[in-house]
Amino acid sequence: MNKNIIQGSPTKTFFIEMITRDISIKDAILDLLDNSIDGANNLNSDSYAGLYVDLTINENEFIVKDNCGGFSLEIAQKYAFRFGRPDDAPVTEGSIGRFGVGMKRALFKIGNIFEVESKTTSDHFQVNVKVNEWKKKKTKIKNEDGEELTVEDWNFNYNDITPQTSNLTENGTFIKVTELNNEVSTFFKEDSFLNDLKDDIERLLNFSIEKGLEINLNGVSLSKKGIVLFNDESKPYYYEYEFEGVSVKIIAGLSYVGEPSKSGWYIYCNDRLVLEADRSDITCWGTKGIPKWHVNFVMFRGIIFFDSKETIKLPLTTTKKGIDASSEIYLKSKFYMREAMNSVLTFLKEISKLGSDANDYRKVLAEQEDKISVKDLKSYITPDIRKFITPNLMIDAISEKNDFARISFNVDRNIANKAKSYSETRTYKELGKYIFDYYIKMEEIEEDE
Amino acid sequence: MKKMNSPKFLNYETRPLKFTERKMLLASLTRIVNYFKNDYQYVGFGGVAFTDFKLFHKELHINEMFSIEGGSKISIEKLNFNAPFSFIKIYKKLSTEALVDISLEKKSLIWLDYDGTLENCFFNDIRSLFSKLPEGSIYIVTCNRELKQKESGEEYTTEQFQEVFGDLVPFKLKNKDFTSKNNHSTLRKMFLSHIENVLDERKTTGLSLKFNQLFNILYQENRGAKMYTFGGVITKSDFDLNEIDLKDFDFINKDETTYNLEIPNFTRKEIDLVDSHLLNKEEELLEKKIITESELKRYKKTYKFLPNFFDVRV
Repeated sequence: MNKNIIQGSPTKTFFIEMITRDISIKDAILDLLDNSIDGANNLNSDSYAGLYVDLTINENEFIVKDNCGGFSLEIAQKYAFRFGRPDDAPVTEGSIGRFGVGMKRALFKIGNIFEVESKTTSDHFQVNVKVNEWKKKKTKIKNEDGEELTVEDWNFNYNDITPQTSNLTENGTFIKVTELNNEVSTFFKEDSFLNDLKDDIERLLNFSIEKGLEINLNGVSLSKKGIVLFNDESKPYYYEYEFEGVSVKIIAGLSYVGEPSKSGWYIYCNDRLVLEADRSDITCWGTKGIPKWHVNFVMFRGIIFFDSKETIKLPLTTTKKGIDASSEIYLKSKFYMREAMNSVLTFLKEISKLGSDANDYRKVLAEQEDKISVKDLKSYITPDIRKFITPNLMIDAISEKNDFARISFNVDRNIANKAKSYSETRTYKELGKYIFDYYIKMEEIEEDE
Repeated sequence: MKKMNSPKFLNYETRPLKFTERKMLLASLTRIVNYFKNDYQYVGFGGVAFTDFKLFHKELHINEMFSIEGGSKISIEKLNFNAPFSFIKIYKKLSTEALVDISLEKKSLIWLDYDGTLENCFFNDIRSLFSKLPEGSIYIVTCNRELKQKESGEEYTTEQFQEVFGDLVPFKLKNKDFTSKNNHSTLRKMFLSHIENVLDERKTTGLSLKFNQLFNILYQENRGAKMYTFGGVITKSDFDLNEIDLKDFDFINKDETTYNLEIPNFTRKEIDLVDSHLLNKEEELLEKKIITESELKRYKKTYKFLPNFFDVRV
C-alpha cells in the first residue's frame, strides 16, 4: 500500500458547515419553497390555481407539504440528493434552483433528522436521513491501482412507500425535519420570526402567490405583497431584449409617496424577487452622474425581470439574495437602468421644487393615476420604448416658485408694533410687505420687464 | 431644464461675439453635415429670436427643428408667434423631458445654449442624448463658465461642488479649478468624462461610438458674462476625424487647448485699410502705425465671421 498519501478528500462535517454557514434560516426555508414553485411551474407555468404549499413550523418540527407534482425517483437518484449539479443535468424550464445545493443545505441547516417523501405519477418513495449517523458513514472503494481505500460515504438510501408510512395522497412533496438544531428551535417558537418569515414569503414570492399558489404558514393563508407603478398620464420607462439566452425587461416609473422603504430597484429572476427596494450603488445610485438616493426620490420604483430556461445564465447568487453584480448580463442592463433613472429622477427633482406644495402634488398624482401591478408589468408592452412619459407637471407653478424669494429679519418688537400701527397693517407679514413695497417705490426700482 | 429669461431683454443678434461664434460654428458644421450626407434635425433653445434656427435652416438646409423653452416668462402663444418657420416644433418643458419626446435615434445637430452656470441637468441632457444619438450627430453646449453657487453667487468650495455634482466631479479637484483661469477646463473634463462614460456603457448594447471634440471656445461679451462653448461630433469608434477636412479652421481644438474668441475694435475706415493690406502687405500696414500687430492678429482670427451692423429703416 502506498504510504506517501496526504488526505485531500473533504469530510462531510466540514462540507455541511461550509454550505450552511452563509444562509439564514429564513432563506433556507425560502429555498425549499422555491423547489415547490419549480414543481408548480412544471405542471403549468401560466397558473398555479389549485396548488398549495403548507408550512408547519414549531419548536419541535418543520414540515413542508405541497401538491406541486413531486420529483421522480430518477431525479432524486441523479440530481436532487447529489451535492452540486452534474454537468449533464437537464435544463429545467423557468426554475430557480441551479447550484444543486438548495434542498440539502436547507435540511442540514434546520435539523438532524429529516424525511423527504415524493409522489409522482410513476414513483412514490421516501428518503430518511439521520444527519449525525450519515456523517459517520464510511465506505470502501478500490482506486486505479487496485488498492482498497476507506472513504466517506456520501450516499443516501431510499425506501418505497407503504400506505402506513405515506403522507401524500396527491402528487407532491412532503418534507419533515425533527431534532431541530438549537438555534433553529429557538427561532421557530418566536412569533417575531414567524411574522418576519410571513412577510418575506409574501414579498419575495409575490409572483407565485399572484399566479394562484396558496401558501399557508401554520394554517394562516399568505397574501401577495407587491409594488405597483402609475400608468395613466404618466407611462413607465420600458425596454426589453434578449441577451445570451436570457430575456431582460426593464421598467421604471412612479409609485406612492408614503412608502419610503419601498423606493428603489426590484430585481426578479424567473419570477423570484432576489433584490428588493435597492438604493445602493449596485443598482446605479450615486454612480456615473446618477444621484445618490434621496428622500425626494421616494416615488421611484424600478423593476428588472431576468428570465431564462437555463437558470445558470441568470445573475443569481447561491443564496438568491442579491444579484451577481459583475455578471455581463447585469452590467449590460445598467445602461438602460441609468437611462431610465436619468428621466424619472429628473422629474422627481422638479417636483421637489414645488416646495411646500410638492407633497400635495405627489398625493394628487397618486389619486389620479391608474396603477399597474408587478405581475401585469411583466406582460406590459408599449410602442414607446426607452421613454418615461411624465405626468403633466405644473411647470408654470414650479417656475413661479423659482421666481419668488422670501425675505425675513428680526427687529425690535416695540418699533415693529409702532410701524405696524403707523402703516395701518394688521400683521407682521403685512408690515414686511408694506416696507418692501415702500422701499421699491421710494428708490424708483423697477421690475426688469 | 433651462430658465431662459435673457432673450426678453437682449437680442442675441446684436451680441457681436455670439454672432461671430455662431458664424464660426456654421462654417465648420457645413463641412461635417456635408460629410455625413446631410438630412439632420436641429434641437436648440430658440427663445423668441430663433437666430440659430434661421441660420441653420437657410445655410444647412435643416427642415426638422425643435426648440425647447423651459422658462416661465414667455407664453407658448408668444413662442409660437415668433417662430419664423411653421415646421419648428416648440416644447415648453424642461429640456430633459423634451428630449424624451424627440426621436434622438435620428441624426441630429444639438446646440444647448444654456444661459446659466453649470447645473446637474446639463449632465441629464448628456445622458439622454448620448444614449440614443447616432453616428454623425453633433453636440454643442454653451454656458456661463463661472463655477458659482446658484443661490449665493459665491464660488464653490470643493466640498460644496462635490455635494452638488457627486461622482461627476474630476478626481483630485482643487479650489483653483473653480477660478476664471481654470473653470472651463473643469467643465470640459466633466462634460467629456460623462459623455465617454455613457458611450462606454452604450458599447454593451453592441454599438461602439466615440465623441470627437471640436470646439473648446472661450469668450466674454463686452462687460457680459464669461461664456464657454464645448462640442464635437459622434462617430464610429474607429473613425479617423481627418476624413473631414477642417484644418483651415483655427478655432477647432481637439484637446484641452482653448480658442479665445476676441474681436478687435476697429472703425469702418480701419477695416477697409486692413482688408486692403491683408496677407500680402501686412508689414507695410503696420508701418503706418494706425493699428498694432496684436490688433491685426486678433482681426485675422475672426474677420471672416464678423458681423456688420447697420441701422436701417424697415
